[in-house]
Amino acid sequence: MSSSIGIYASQISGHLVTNNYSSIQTVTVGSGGASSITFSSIPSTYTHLQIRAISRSTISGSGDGTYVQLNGDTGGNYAYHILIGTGSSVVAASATSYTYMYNGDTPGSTSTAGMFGAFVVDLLDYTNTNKYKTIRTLNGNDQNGSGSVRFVSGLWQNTAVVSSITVNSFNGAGFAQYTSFALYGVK
Amino acid sequence: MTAGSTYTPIATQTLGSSASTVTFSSIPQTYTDLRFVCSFNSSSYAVGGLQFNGVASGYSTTYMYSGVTSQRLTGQSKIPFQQGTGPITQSNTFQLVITDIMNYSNTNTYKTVLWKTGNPTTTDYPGYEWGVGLSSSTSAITSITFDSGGTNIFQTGSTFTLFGIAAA
Repeated sequence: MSSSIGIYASQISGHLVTNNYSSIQTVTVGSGGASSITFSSIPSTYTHLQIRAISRSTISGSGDGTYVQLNGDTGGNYAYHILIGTGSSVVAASATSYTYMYNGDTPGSTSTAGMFGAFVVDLLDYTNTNKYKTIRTLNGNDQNGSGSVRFVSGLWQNTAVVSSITVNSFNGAGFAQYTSFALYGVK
Repeated sequence: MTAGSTYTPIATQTLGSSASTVTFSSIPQTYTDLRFVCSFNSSSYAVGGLQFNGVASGYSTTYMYSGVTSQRLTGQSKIPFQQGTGPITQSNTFQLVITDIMNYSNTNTYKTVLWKTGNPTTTDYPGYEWGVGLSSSTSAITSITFDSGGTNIFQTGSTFTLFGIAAA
C-alpha cells in the first residue's frame, strides 16, 4: 500500500508557532566567488541562532575545511571537538587554544560539478553575557564514493554578545558560486 | 538586514493503516530548505530511505552509526537509513528521523541531505545514526517518497511532517 497525497495551500495547518524561527540574512556567492562569509550587525532579539548552508570551496582539490570566528576575534580563544564518519571508520579529534572553531568540510574545485557540502549550525544563547558561547554543527559532504559526515562542537571562551559571525575556508581558498549561507534567529 | 518568520508546516500524514511508502507530492518551490520529520514504528526490519521525484537511482550516502561505525554506499536506489525501520516488537515506541533537504529547488546543484535518527528500543536494532546523502541530480525536488523497504512496514499511527524553511 502506498500512502500518497498532493500538497495544496488548503492543507497547510498551523500546529507550529511559526513566528519563533525567523530568517535574518542570507549570503549567496556569485560567479566571482567569495573569500569568506560574514554576518554582521546580528540583532540581539533572539535566543539562539542557526546557520543553514550549502558550500563548495575554490581550493584546488576535492575537499576543504571551513571554520568559524565570532565578533572578529582571531585570538587563541577557541576550542572544538569533532566526530568524523569517514565511510569506513569513526574518528575523533579536538583542539584547544585555537584561533578558530573548525566547522566541517566541503567539496573543492576538482569535485564533480554540482556537489556541495551541507551544514546546520546552532549557536546557543548568543546574547547571554554570563556564558561562553557554544556551537554545534552537523556537516556532511557525500561525493558519490568519497566524503564524510561530521559532528562538531565548538567553544568561544568569551562572554560577549555575538554580533558577527565569519566563516572562512582553510588556506584562504574561498567559496565557489552557489555557496549559500542563511542565518536564522530562534526565540 | 531583513527578518522574516519561517519554518512552516507544509503537510502532515498520519497513517490510519499500514503502508509501504509515504509520498509528499506537489511540493511548493517557495522555500529554501525542507525539513522532514518522521515518527514511525514497523512490522519488520528493513532499510528505509528517501527517493526524490520518483527517481530510483543516483543516490549515495556516508553515515556513522552509534558513534563507532561508518559506512559509505554508492549506486543506491534511495538515500538509505541503515538504522532503517525501527521499533518492531515494542508497542507505543516510535523511531524518529529528522532530515534536512538543503536547497531543494536549486537547479545548479546536486541535492545534499543531512539526517539524524534514533531507534530507542532495547531489542530491535537500537542505536542512532547521523548521515549525509547525495542525490546526483540538479532537478528541483517536487516530490519526496519515504520507502520503508518492504511491504506495509510502516504501522498505524506513524506520522510524517514536511516543513519549509525560507531564507531572506
